[in-house]
Amino acid sequence: MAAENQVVFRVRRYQPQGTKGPYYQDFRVPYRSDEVVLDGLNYIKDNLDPSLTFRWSCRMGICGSCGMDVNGKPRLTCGTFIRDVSPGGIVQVDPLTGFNSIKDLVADFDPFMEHFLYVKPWVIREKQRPLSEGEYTQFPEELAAYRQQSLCINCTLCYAACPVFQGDNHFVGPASLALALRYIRDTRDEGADERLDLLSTPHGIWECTFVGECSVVCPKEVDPAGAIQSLKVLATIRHMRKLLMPKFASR
Amino acid sequence: MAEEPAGTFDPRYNPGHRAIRVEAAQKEGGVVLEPFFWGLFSLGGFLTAFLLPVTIVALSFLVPFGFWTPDRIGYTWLASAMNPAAANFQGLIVRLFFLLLIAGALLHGAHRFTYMAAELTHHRGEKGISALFHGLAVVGSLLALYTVLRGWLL
Amino acid sequence: MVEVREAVWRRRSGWWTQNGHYLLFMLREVGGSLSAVYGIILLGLLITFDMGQASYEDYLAFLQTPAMLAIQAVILAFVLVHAFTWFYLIGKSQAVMSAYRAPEWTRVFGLMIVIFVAASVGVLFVVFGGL
Repeated sequence: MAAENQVVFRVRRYQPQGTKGPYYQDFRVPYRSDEVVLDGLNYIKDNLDPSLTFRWSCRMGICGSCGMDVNGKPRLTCGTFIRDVSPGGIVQVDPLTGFNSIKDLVADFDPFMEHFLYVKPWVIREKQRPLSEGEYTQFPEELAAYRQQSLCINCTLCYAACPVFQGDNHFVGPASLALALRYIRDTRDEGADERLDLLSTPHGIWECTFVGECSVVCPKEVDPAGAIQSLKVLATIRHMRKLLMPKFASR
Repeated sequence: MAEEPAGTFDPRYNPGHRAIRVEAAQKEGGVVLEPFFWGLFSLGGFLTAFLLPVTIVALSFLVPFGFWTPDRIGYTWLASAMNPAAANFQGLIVRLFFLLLIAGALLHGAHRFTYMAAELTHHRGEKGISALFHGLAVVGSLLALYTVLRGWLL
Repeated sequence: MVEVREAVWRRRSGWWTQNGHYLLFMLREVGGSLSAVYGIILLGLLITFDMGQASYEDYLAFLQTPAMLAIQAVILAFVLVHAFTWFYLIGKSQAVMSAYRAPEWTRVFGLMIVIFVAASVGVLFVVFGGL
């Protein structure tokens, strides 16, 4: 049997019906070396305070539900070992930065959902092929062109890390822009012009100042910062073409 | 077993569209000058990163710290370095060097100033701030162009 | 019906101090802005040169006063931070920009350093007449 350690979980609580603002509550949590922060939160809910509310689902880093700020850094709590974040004896858990919280550790992702849909994250085609013609085929290189951005699990850790989004939540944001690039680079998609029109706006790609923190915190290495720079280059080239050679501007 | 959908199938039709505020967001409208400024900012960034450090060291520090004699950066040096009649187009290259460095630094800095100011004012008046700083940078670059052409074409 | 409201989140004004990456970003921003200040100094150099030898040499003397030297030292420090963070970013972003198997960012960074040294030597010789 593995030896048990103890650590203090300092959790941000918030009761939506009350007049009180958010406050911190400490819980003493035992943990083993193979347990993650999510296990600690579930221990609290099972044994110490059943009213603690937080989101989680797959507990294996693929659903993107359990994103929270652990000791000030946006992490997936199912992938953050308690032993790694407890050197000071205290593990502080906050809801994700940049979002309002509905209750306790549950963040209000409505701004993210709006931005996500704004970039039209579906394959846009002039005409769909009839089913009798079979599926759209792609070469491995064509898949490789957009595969990295397709790995996004919509965990919004990048939004929590982005100081531009923190300052102005009308900014479309790293995940949505990376997703836009994923569709622009997909050879089945014909909506590059339409999307670049939507992205080349003051709240779109031009608000990004390439801090780069989004790519640092991304658990799936989507590299949204690099994606946004690609979009800036694409938008600039297209802008030049539209002005100088309007007939040849469409991709 | 899959079947062809009956009637016309419009892949862009999205019934949930009205439920979300995407339509409203789309009315924001694009940008006209921003891509240019970003392109110039990027070029300026390259030029500044590669060429500015050595220029600052040479012009600002090597003489005061005694590595070079003052005439290395004196009037006669600059006159001969920028001499349009010099061999191998050296004079023209030096003029181009100064033009690119000044314009690059000004345009790059203007873009950064704009974003820093916009952050401080929470994006209020951002278009005005952008126009002001980029405008000043363009004026400075034109002034640089003028001084570089003096003694050669002007 | 109980009234519910969300806890509103606001960004703190010292946000860029909480993280090494954010701090470096701020330094990069300031560095980029300060390079514009040196651009103005260079513009002054060319303008006074055009005005004649006396103006040029007065301007040089002004640049070498202790206060101006201090300002130029600060500018140099920030410009160097800007240059090296720029090389780092180019290395990190070009993998995504090119959509094919791009080299590791360390190689690109190394290449940038090589170009930086070559450009500096080139400028020293072509513009300033040698070492």
